[in-house]
Amino acid sequence: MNRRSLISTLCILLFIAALPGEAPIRTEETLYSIAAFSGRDYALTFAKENASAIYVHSDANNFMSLKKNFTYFWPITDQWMLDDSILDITYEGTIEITDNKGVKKTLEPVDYTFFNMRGTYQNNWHVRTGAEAVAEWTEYVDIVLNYQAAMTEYNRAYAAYQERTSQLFNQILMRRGEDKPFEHLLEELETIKPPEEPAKPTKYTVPPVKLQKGFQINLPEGEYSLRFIATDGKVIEGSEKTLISVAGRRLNAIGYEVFPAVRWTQPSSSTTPSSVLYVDGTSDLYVRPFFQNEYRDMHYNKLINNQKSGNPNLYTWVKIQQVPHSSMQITTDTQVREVTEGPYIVEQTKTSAMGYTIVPYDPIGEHKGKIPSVSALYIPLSPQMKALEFSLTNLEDAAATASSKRSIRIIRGVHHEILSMALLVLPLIVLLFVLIKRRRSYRR
Amino acid sequence: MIDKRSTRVLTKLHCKETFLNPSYYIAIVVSSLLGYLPIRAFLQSIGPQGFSPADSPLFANITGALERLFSPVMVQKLFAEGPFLFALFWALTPMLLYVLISSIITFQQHKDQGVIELIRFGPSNSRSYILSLFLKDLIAIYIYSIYVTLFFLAVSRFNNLLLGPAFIQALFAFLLATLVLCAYAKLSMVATDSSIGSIFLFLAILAVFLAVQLGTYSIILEQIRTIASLLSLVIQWISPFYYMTIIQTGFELASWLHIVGGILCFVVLTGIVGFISLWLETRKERRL
Amino acid sequence: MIKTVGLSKKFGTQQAVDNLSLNIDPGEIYGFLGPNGAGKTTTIRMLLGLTNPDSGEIFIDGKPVNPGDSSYRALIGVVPEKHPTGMWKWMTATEYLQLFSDLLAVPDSHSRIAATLERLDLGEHRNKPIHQFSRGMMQKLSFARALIHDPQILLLDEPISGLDPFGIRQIRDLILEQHALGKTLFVSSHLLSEIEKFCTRIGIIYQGKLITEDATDKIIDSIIPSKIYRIEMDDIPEDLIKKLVQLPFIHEAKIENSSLLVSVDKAEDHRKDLSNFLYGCGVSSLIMQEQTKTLEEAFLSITTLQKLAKNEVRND
Repeated sequence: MNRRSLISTLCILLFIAALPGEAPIRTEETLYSIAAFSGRDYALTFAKENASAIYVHSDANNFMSLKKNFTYFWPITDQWMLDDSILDITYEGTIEITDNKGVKKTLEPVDYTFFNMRGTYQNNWHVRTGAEAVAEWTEYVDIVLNYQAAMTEYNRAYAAYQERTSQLFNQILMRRGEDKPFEHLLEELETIKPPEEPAKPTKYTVPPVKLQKGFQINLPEGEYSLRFIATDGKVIEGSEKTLISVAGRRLNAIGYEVFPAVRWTQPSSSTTPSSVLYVDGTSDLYVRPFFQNEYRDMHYNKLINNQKSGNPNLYTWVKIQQVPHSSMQITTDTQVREVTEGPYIVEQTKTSAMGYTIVPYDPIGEHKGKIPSVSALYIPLSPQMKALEFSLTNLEDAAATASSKRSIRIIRGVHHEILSMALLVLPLIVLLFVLIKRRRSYRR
Repeated sequence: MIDKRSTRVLTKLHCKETFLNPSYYIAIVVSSLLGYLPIRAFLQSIGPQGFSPADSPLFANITGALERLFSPVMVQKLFAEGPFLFALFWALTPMLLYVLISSIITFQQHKDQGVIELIRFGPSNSRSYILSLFLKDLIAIYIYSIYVTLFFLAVSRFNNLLLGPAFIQALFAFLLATLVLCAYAKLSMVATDSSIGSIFLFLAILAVFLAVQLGTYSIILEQIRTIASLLSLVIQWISPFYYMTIIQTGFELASWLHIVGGILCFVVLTGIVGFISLWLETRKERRL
Repeated sequence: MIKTVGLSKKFGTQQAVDNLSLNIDPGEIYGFLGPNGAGKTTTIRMLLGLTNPDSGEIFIDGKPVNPGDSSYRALIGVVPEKHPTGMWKWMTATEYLQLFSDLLAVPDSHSRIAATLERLDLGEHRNKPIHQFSRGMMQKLSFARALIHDPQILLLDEPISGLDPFGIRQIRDLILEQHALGKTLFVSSHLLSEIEKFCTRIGIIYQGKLITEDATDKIIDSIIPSKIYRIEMDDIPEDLIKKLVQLPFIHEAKIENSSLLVSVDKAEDHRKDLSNFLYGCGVSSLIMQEQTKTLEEAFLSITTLQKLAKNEVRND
């Protein structure tokens, strides 16, 4: 490429780059903004004007409100997005829900907030409405403000402490240079204490969402019809939807997330006792047991994101939370072992080959100051092994224990292929036998 | 009326005819080979993290298509226990089609050549003949099912695979569905007067049931699913695939109500379709 | 043994059988004659209950036959016109007969099969697959199947059609043997010359209607009223035919293939009168032979008459 053509190409590229990107077309829509409980979390989604149904979790607190916002299509995610930065009108009125027997229920908007107070494992969501919501929100704001004030005070005190220690240090140096006594300064430097950092607020794992007004939907499983009636008594156009209250089919079963030591990024799932883990045995396994619920695939997908699709006739297992402090019994042909959950950390391999390896977390040695990547159960494997079985031992529910049984089988390619082929052609041998026998009967 | 003795004698005759026919054995070998290939591909797709469909040229496309059409849950369920559920489908479908279509051809040839009339001199009647063909089909398929199960069992032992409850449950549901499919094959057989017509009718019935059932599972286009779901409201009651899903649900939920209900539905549907077939044949006979 | 009253069957616009009444006594060999499409097979199918009559009644062994009732078929052995073994050619003769023995619940079937095959000269072929059988053997096997349960009635549809003279002889002997055993035989055929040799009574069907029915001899007598003499001579004078037809006992005279055919009264022997007359005319006959009209020709003449009556000849 000569110099002139290079410059021309660069100019064209610069011109293209300078062109304004095509702005997505925003459309004004009346839509339902939804905070749906997902069994483990709150999913924030919205139902577009043309959506036929809204999905919420049964017997749980879900919230929704009717709004007027802009929406636009975002091709990168192949989804419609909501833009409430310019237009954000919340309709005022009531929601009317009618069940399949024709019984109507009218809901008034309430102030609400929800927050999580779980520890590492606890699925501990709390919902506050009305005055309680206001109080909770106020308390949260107070906690935040107090913490901020304490932090400001701490920062100020810490700056004063640093300034004082710096002053003392300089004075000691100076006096020592001048050969003057400095012991009293040294004493002060040794006794001066830094200010104590205020403790972070621990009440919430997930802080309360901003106090807002919405309609609290808590319904038994079923299909309902929903519409929004404005303060003037008129039904808002486009607000009529089917409301599907989704329930889990099977609850609190045990599922596993399984990942090999060499491929931390590729976990696989084992959802039922009938699902066997076939591996080649070249890598040890780590498993994380989860409580899981089974939902209709499409319903659950739409509950999480109203625009998503799914299979209405298939059920899918959804991990709710990791089983706390699990322990497991592993049975092989020769031995029975008990393993307990432990912290592990993912490290980049130190060889030239790219990849990761999982090693036990050492909080006081090698991994001091780091946090563990995962808390899991370790299952050592080798290609020489044939199979092993495991199940959790620390569950209170017998059904859950039963659902925690799994087997691992080591597969090393195709074996005894000649024998398999021999069995495949066995019918032809039978045929030969039949034909010979038949021919003999003709001769008789 | 159905003559039990004639039915027994004719069933024996049809079975003998089938078991002396080399094509039955060739169909067995071809069908079981079709079942073996996915097992083999599965064994070659096992890595340290488990079954990886992308590693197999066979599975990469199939599972990809299934995921796009019916959601990843479908693939997950299909291969949860291992390769045998998928292999079972490949091993049984061709054999089922072979047995039922060859039965249709035999019936029409017998009819054209006057064999059925000769049997009616017997004295027997074409109802016994049709019922005997139905029983022969079941026996031929069930014998093959036993063979293919034993073959899979051997392959599972050779390769440390598990031939577990999901396989047995699917086989059970499939064998029940065979009852209804055999009955539909007989209905197609008597409803038309030519082999080609009967085969087309049978395949059309099968295709409609499959299309509606799979349509309700489809995730690719909501419109397809909506249409299939609407059609399914009517068609599901006469579709063996619907009752298969009921039995499968029963096994999943360990619900005897679903299992026993599903079995009863299969038996009743077989009875109804079989009765219609025999009634149609009697009506044709009387019209002569 | 077999009785039908006003039996009728119509296929579309075609009247296959029209008001057919038959009465066949036990121990009879009844010949059921008619050209193709006359309604013979439809009648047999109705007797077997394979085709429902539009009207009329059937009695077998004195009992009425109801639609859908197949139990009486055990009384009947059937030899169909075409023996459908196409799909079962893999079977041996024994297996084939065993199948029908089982269907008919024949007691002591093994020895009965062996005996039947021996009687039909098929004993040495009992373990041969059917596909190796000749047409004659196949027909005998069909007979064996019809006889396997020792039925009282035998319905034979064109039993000698397509057989060689030896085969025809064997089947004829078999029919007579069954007749001697007191069986009732209903034989449908269009090979009239053969039927006349063993049938005790004959019914002729044409276009679904029973045209005539009587003892074989009477049928022949009624439909062949004259004798025909074939006279071979060196030279036939031109006016001889004219002179001959003036004789009172001569019905018709004509020349056919250089021979003189003279039709005379059947009741008396006119050969001497004819020789004298020819001698008087100056011609001498070299050969004079009585040419009896066969049943086949008689059957043809009746049907021709029927056609003439219906003015259908021109259309043909």
